[in-house]
Amino acid sequence: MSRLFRAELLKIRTVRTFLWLTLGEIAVVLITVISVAASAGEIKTAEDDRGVAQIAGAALVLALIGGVIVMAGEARYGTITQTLLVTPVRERVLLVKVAVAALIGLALAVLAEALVLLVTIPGASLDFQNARLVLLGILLGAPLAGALGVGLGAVVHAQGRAIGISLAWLLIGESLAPVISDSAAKYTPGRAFGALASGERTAEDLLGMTAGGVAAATWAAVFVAAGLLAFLGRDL
Amino acid sequence: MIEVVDLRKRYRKTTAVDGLTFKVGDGRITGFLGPNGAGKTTTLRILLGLVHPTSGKATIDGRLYRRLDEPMRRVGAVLEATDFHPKRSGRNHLRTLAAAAGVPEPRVDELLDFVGLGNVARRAVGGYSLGMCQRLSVAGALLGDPALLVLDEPANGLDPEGIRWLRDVLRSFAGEGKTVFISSHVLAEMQQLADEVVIIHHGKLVTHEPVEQLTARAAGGTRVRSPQAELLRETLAREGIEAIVDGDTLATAAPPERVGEGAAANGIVLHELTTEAASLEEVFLELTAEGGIE
Repeated sequence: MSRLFRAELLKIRTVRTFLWLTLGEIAVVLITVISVAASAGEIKTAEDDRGVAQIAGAALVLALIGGVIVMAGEARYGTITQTLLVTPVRERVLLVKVAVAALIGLALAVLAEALVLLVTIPGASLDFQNARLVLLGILLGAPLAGALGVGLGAVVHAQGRAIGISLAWLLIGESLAPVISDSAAKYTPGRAFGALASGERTAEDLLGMTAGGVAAATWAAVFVAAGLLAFLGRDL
Repeated sequence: MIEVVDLRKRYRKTTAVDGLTFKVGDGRITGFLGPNGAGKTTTLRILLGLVHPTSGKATIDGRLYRRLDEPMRRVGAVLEATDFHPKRSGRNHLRTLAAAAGVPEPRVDELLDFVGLGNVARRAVGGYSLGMCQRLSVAGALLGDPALLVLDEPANGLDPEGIRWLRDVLRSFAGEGKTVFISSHVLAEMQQLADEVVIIHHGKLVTHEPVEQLTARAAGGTRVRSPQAELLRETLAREGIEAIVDGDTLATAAPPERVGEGAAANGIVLHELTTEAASLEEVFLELTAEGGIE
């Protein structure tokens, strides 16, 4: 298992895809946090602190995309056959990819939070105490988002389509969900991860942070299970 | 040993493999032949655990591929020559495989030199020619120093020098008592290389026999050179054997034993008496012609 884990990390280190993903995150977080800090002046309330810290939540989306690439990228280039010739037990391959994607998610979350804190604590007087639950939620949520991405990549198989579906859901599906059912909308994947990263124990339009964490973990588990089933049954 | 037992694979309305059964023994080079769409690639992918059979099984040493311990050390496989990340270097591609298989990294450089890619090892695979990709595939297959090589059309994209290189590699591999199971369209090459062939068509087994036996059996003719060729023709005709004479050469479908005995009994001088073997290509085309299989 550890050999396979090392091989998966080597795959990531030997192409530039994840470098671009990281640079993309740095650009998005820095531009957003600098513009917010510059326009808002001093951050005054605890809610302001949480709002600024939530900029690091970009790591959740990027971790999701990273997870999709870890899984579906191999299908895109056909390298999955080589992977399975070395490690033919597909369950093991998928679980190692989940672990790698979770690690990538965690790394992206740490980087995003470090950037937010580096800019806002000295530049806009961010109170770390007020932001700490948001930061914790993002640290917990990003690995789950990475795992969910692996499951989605295994189900959809085509990398571009899987990323397109993710973004379409986040931008359109999540907005339409309350129209269908206001109470059920709290449990959608986007809102579950949003609740986990909200830093609030209770909220009106979202689940509380703990319940959001449970819902996010459930979504990740459901997608990983569905991905495993799809991967086990697929002819390559 | 490779064993395929009543293997079937159906894709919706198409049957790719239809009750295929054969065994490939150790220490031989076995060609796996069939027209396009005959089911060769599907069979190989089932054998390697990449495709699920509808029924039946394909095993290596009595075990499914996914049940093999350290499969890369038992089986080396060459499949699609395009299954590489275009931005990853050839060396890094092999390093990822080596890391997963627990193969020491010096083996990667050793194999890159062996397949002639040492000088381009750090270049992205996207810049490789098809032939270079095939060589990289062969290097990947040899990484675990396996006892069995399974190759699907490995000569695709190779230039004549590359084909000769591949033939030498496979001969040297088999010379160590190891096994090669290879599908190919280059029948002349297979005739030179393979000890035996498995021929399939429409997913069914057509024949499985040694190349020499197959080509001799399919032809069964005799060619004779004699200064008395016309006299020999008349002698054979009296025994009910038809023959054609062209100068000092006589050709007949009769076996060489009957021709030789007929000539000896009548004191006819022979300068040459040979079995006319058909080429593997001729036999293959005859066996896989539409309607040629029960």
